[in-house]
Amino acid sequence: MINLVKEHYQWFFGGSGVLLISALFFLVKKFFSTKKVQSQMQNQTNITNEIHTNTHDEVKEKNEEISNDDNLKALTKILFVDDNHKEYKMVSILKKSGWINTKSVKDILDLDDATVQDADIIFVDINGVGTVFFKKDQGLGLASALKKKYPKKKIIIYSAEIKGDRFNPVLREVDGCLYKDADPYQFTSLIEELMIKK
Amino acid sequence: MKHFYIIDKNGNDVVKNLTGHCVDCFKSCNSVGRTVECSLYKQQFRYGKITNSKSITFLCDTTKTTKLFREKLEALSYAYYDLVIAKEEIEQKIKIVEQKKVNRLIHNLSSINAHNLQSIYDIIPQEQLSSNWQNQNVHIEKEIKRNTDKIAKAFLQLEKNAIRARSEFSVYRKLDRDEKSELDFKSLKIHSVLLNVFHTFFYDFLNIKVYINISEYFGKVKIDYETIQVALYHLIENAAKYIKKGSHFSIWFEEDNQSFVKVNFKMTSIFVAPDERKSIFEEGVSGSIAKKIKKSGDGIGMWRIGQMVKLNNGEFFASFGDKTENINGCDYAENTFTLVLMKGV
Repeated sequence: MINLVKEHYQWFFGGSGVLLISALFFLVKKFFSTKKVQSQMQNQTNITNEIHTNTHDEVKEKNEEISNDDNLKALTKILFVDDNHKEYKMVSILKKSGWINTKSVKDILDLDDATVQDADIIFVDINGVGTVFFKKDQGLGLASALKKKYPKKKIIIYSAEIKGDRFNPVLREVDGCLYKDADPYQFTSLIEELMIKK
Repeated sequence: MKHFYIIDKNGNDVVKNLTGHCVDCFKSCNSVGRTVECSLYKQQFRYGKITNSKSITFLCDTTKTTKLFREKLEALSYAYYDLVIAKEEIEQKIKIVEQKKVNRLIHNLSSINAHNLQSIYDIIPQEQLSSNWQNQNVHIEKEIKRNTDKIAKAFLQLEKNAIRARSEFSVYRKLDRDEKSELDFKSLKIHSVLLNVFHTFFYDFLNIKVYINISEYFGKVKIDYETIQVALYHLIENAAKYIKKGSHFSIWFEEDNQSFVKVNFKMTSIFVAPDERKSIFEEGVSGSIAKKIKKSGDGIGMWRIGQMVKLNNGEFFASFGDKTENINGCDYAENTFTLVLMKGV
């Protein structure tokens, strides 16, 4: 094989040789890539479900929607106040779905804190936060104080158990309530709703 | 009798209609018929208290004479014995009703939790986890890499179980515990709401070679997310259970005038006889074919869907088809289930 190459190298690198090698290379490549696709197909099931993921007819409009959506996600500053914030994964879930400016803190000890001032939306857990200044009302007290100080910021209360505090007037002051086990979809649709209304 | 209070020897209330203001009078009262100027009603009242070995009885009203007042107070203190019996009966009845709801919740959550634990130990057996605790992470990583397909299935199963568990909580939170519970109505894209539940069942449908077609729809419906998720969960779970293997499952949306959106689920599923078409929407009723093929559960599904949709000011109905075929002794028909929901903005 090496001798063959040595003897005919001039021919190989001549115009027609390059063309022939390119063609062979192309065919080999095509053969392997086709095979790959076929084997993938064989592994897949022969059922092709049709689940329309709401693709829009007007591409332009859709692109605008996406860019608005991305802008909203990138610009909205979200803060979670939760004493178990390291274990509660909603911050990580929201970040993964594009809400990159999402942070969490264990508690708020200073309403003038830069993290608070920066945030557009603050989620406050009812239990275990605000214990220093609002011993009895905890998170509800903190949420109320935040809403009074920053009426333009959106304050949402979330908890494993809201029912016991159902008649607390703070629930009417804030912009929303969610159960801790709410779907990420419920969190994001509430954020979108509040930020679009803003 | 304006205000009264009977308390038993253990400090439990038997009957009470005191205002916050009356509590101080009760505490300070040590007579059986003294008059006092009531600052709440701005008039003269007579109040008294009787203490015996069983109870303390307090009364406050506008009876003119002390003698008459004492007779009333004594009669009230004798009523203690009858009131206690009635109170215990009522408490017992409430306990039974509430216990039934809590028992159902515990039963359902326990079985979901059992499935979760089984899914986990099916990937890595419990004894392996406990014996390899020093290299736990490395061992788990190795097992996951070795069983990627099994892990993917278990992941979906765990997600489905978590949604099921949450739907049990939702039913308890929004219905069983307090019938006057407020729902959280919001305008949401029904297509996304449906897929949030549906995707956990894709694998089940794939396993039985069912072709799914969900149409496009951008519209919104005004719903309480949690309760509609419960309805959708039961509907899709029932579909996965009773649909014919290798058949088609179509879901499409229709706008009915300006106020409602219909979500239709059309499938070839087990035949429902005409005489059962009304009763299977009732609590605890399963269809005869569902029982025959031993797939019926507690007969909760259809009833729960209707109940949840009604809470959302919607409607749930089905159009049952005639027998089309018989496979392995099971009759199938073309059935369409429809949820009618309020249109959102």
